[in-house]
Amino acid sequence: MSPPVKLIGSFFDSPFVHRAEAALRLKGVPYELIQEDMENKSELLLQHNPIHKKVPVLVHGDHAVCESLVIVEYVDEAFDGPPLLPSDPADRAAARFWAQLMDTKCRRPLVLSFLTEGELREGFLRETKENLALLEAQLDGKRFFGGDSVGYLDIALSALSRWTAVFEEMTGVSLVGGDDFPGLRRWAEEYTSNEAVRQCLPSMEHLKAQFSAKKDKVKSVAMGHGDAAAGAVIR
Amino acid sequence: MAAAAGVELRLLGEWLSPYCIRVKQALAVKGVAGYEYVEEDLEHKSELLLSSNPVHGKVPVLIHRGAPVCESLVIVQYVDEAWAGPAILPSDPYERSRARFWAAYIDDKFFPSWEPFFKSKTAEDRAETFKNAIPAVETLEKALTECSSSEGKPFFGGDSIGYVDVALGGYLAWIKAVDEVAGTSLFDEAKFPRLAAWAERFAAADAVRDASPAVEDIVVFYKKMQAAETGAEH
Repeated sequence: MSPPVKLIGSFFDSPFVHRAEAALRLKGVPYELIQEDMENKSELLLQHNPIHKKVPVLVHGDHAVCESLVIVEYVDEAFDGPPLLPSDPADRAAARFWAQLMDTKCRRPLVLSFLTEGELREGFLRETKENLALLEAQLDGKRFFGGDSVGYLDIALSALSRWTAVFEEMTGVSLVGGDDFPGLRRWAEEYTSNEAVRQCLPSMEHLKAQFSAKKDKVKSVAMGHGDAAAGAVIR
Repeated sequence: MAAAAGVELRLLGEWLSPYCIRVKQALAVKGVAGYEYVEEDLEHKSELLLSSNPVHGKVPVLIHRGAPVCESLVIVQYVDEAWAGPAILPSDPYERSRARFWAAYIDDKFFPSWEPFFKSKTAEDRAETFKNAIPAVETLEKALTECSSSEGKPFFGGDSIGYVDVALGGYLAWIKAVDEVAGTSLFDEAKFPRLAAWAERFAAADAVRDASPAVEDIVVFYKKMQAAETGAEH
């Protein structure tokens, strides 16, 4: 029998932790969620992710898996259940390419679209809309990026759903929720309505409270340190 | 669209790019031969490159039966999955997660920590940036120890070249070239015996030798590059 699974997450509702939880729930793997206080990191976290000291970390028996997308692939491969990645190598390569794009190219300007103002904001918005247009084209009228069911790429792009909706509501900026990307808008609704996903999705209210409290910190890190920063601060 | 009919497999690359070198190494390890290699002039990118990688316009791009695959590590995994041949990633899910973790570390932490050293020109800069590159090397020495286990297997992949080996391997000729010009030794034998041994074994492997540029050619290029930049500053 498979040893128990623990997922080290954080009190801040990180989209990276969500990726790991979504994968576990979609795969049907029971797990215990441990909420980490990132201001006061535990021995458990430091022991299992000594190099990056970040969440999420999946602990499966005496195996520790770090990095959210690596966790998603691990969950897909280590447990039985509906497949998260497609089976065809070319489709898998496409899913990995777009997931990587989200983290290396899309995330920072997306976050900064909401956190900056004026001309700076206009620049980030332009860049974000270009990125969203690429994703809209990739979605190509499908229900999910994975096809008929939620898959790896949907999970990888999940920050475009609830988290982006919260930002949009708080700032009045319209991106996924607007009329420019009808496919993505519908996708976000489908994703957040999914039975398994819903159980590990933070509520709008909860996220609003989190962002209000952390806004300045999120912004300074995102502005200062480049691509990894916008993700790093909410990891 | 420019893709020529009947070309089953094509790699768009640039001979100096570590990311292209690692894809060539992966293809060689997998035993995939007979592909067409196209050397791109990055100052004048081909229509084929721009249409195959519209998002980034970068090399490497692998075009298999007309369908492009982009991003070097995505390509390496694709090569592993689309062809039969020696496994590049291990079969065990946990071992695979470790391989992915270390490959990401090499690109996200190791290379950015080495890059300032590669770019430095004065003796002072070099000393400082070389020192700053060492912590990541220490981590890689530990990673190799973890991956190769107590039996002291030669590669990150164990007995044979694997995913992490080509991830780091793409940079190796460059590391050696810069060491030669700067008079340094990044994978110093005394300090990092396992990495030093790995570097030697990796470079000597058949698959790698044919797929990697000659260190001397990179030395020539690197010296020209440094001289040109210094000239421009004055």
